[in-house]
Amino acid sequence: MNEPSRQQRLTIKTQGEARQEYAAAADWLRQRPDYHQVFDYFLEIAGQAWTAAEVSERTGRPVVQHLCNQAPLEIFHAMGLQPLRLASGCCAVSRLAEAGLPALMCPMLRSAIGAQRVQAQASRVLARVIPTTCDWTVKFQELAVALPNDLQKNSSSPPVHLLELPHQRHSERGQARFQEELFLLIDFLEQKIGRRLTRSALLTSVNLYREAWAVLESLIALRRDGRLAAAWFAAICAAFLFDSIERWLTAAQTLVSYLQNQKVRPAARSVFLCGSPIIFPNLKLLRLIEEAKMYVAADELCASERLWPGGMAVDDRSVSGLIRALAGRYHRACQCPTFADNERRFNSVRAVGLPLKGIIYHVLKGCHPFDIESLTMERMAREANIPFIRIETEYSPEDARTILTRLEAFANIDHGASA
Amino acid sequence: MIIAGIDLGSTAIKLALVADGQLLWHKAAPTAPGQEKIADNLLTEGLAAVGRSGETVVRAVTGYGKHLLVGADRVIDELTANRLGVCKASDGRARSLINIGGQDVKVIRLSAKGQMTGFKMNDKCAAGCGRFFEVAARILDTEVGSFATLAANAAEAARINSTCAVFAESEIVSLMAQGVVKENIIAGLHQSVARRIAGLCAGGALEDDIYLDGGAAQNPGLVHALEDELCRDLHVLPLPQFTVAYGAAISAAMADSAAAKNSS
Ligand code: SF4
Repeated sequence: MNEPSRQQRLTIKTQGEARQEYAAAADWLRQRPDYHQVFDYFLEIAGQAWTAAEVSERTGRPVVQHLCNQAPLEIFHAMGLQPLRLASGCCAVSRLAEAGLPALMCPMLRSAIGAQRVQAQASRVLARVIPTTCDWTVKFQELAVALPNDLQKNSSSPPVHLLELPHQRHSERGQARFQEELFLLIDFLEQKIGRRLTRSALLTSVNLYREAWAVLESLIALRRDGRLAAAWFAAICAAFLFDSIERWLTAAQTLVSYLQNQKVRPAARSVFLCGSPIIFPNLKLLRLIEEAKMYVAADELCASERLWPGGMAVDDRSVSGLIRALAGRYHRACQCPTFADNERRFNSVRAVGLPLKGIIYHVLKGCHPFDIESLTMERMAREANIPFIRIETEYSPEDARTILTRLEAFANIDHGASA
Repeated sequence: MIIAGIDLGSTAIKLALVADGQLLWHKAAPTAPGQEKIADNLLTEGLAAVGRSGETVVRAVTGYGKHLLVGADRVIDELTANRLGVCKASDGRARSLINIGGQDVKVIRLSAKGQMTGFKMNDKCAAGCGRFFEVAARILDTEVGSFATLAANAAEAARINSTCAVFAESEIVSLMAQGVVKENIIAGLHQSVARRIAGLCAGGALEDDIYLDGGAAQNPGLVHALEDELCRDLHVLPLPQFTVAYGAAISAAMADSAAAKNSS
């Protein structure tokens, strides 16, 4: 029998470390005083890295991997497909992606590429849909296939569709182009599955997701009054990204009923969290914020509250009408920092309507869009007299101590005092 | 009541014994494994030195290792302890403070009432921090304590460009290889660190009445270089290494008197 190669040994070792990382995050949540068995479903889904094959088996649907928030989930669902977000918060798997990737790269995508390499399951994926948001996502496929030699043997890359994102969301031209892009996406998927998207299927999916958005909205309201900690919300969002919408919806509705019966816990030091995404099991910053005795009452992270960009107005129930409505929701209402006209992003802070201790702005090293927008956000925060702190970090835990020192100082700062 | 303010820092453990707001005794020991034991030994030594062995002591802990001390009576974050220590020791005059710690530099802005109104921290790189001077001292085979005297005798400051401690280390080695004298290298180090700290202080981070503390503030060479860079006068308190430990004790005393007031 052949000896496993160095790369295979590294893969096995990394798989073990990744399992531990997920388990540690889930265990930490299970041991919290606010744990209840109603959270178990979310821990089960968020608490491990699922392969595309496992997700396909669990949901009974072929998997389409996708990045970012701009590919309408309703379209995948209506075509009998299971969307699976290409996103990972696992630090351990990043190591597998280190060889051959740029040194200062988006940690979330580095981890996502590492996770793909650990799984080597690309052949089980029907297609990959990549909205052209930031440079890292545009180059994702190129980076993802740059595999070390002995991983290349076992993998084949799924067909990729680039969903071109017009970077001006408030221009009519941009909106019209995005609608066109959605029709091209539908053409692409129809070719892959060999059947047409029907109006009734799309309408059913739109209605199903409307229910999901309503539940997300309830969960967000529960965050605001102190009944749902950010770390739990991260697990809930991870389950949303990695499981079937039907299962998630049932579990989330039960959770909402449970939480609505819990006591309101107004937090003394509520903060608003902005910036680069936080994806399970990367709970580092959320844990440190809690350790510094602050409560994340709201966020506008793309894999968290920004999964819910607001309600969708459907006045025309034809396929074109539904696509127009979806385009409005997934493009015009999206606050991705890669848009050129994003001044209204600060409105989400104002809309929270809570007395805030301040804004914590999370920048993953290498995530240029959020890094750039931190300057605008800081200026706007200053103008509105809202305290602001920028935390630049990556997935590794080594800077936790210094981040904690800064967060503790931020929590104790007397922002009301005149300097 | 006697209070022990304990600052478990990254390079040194500092202990200040305080009663009625007055500093009775202080001592530092290098940080090493078994921090709890080191702190206990300092406490025992201090109580004996002030003739109060056996008395009940409130232990107020701060610093990077603050969560390592089991059974501490109070745990205080570093910046709060620092602010309180400097405010009290400066009789409320301080409006800004620059703390040069072992592994980071903190710049804190204070209101007239001593509240923290803003802060900045350089925690990305050891260059500019206390640890950096220790590393340089090792390469130069010179005590940090003699840096100021040597720098004062420098004909000209050597240019040290690296913003990273590791690269600065190799820059020092290469300057030595080029025959640049120690005095000039040390003066260059002071300038380079001062430049970096001044960069952190830019953009309105400082009010007037600036106090400098942390172990590195004991080095007048660095203080002068920083004054030059900032074009401002700096005040250094008599025991700059102990202001954080002292502030932790002050914080505990304040909490105690607030609790007493509430119960009466
Ligand atoms: S926006 Fe930032 S976090 Fe998102 S994919 Fe791009 S670099 Fe990564």
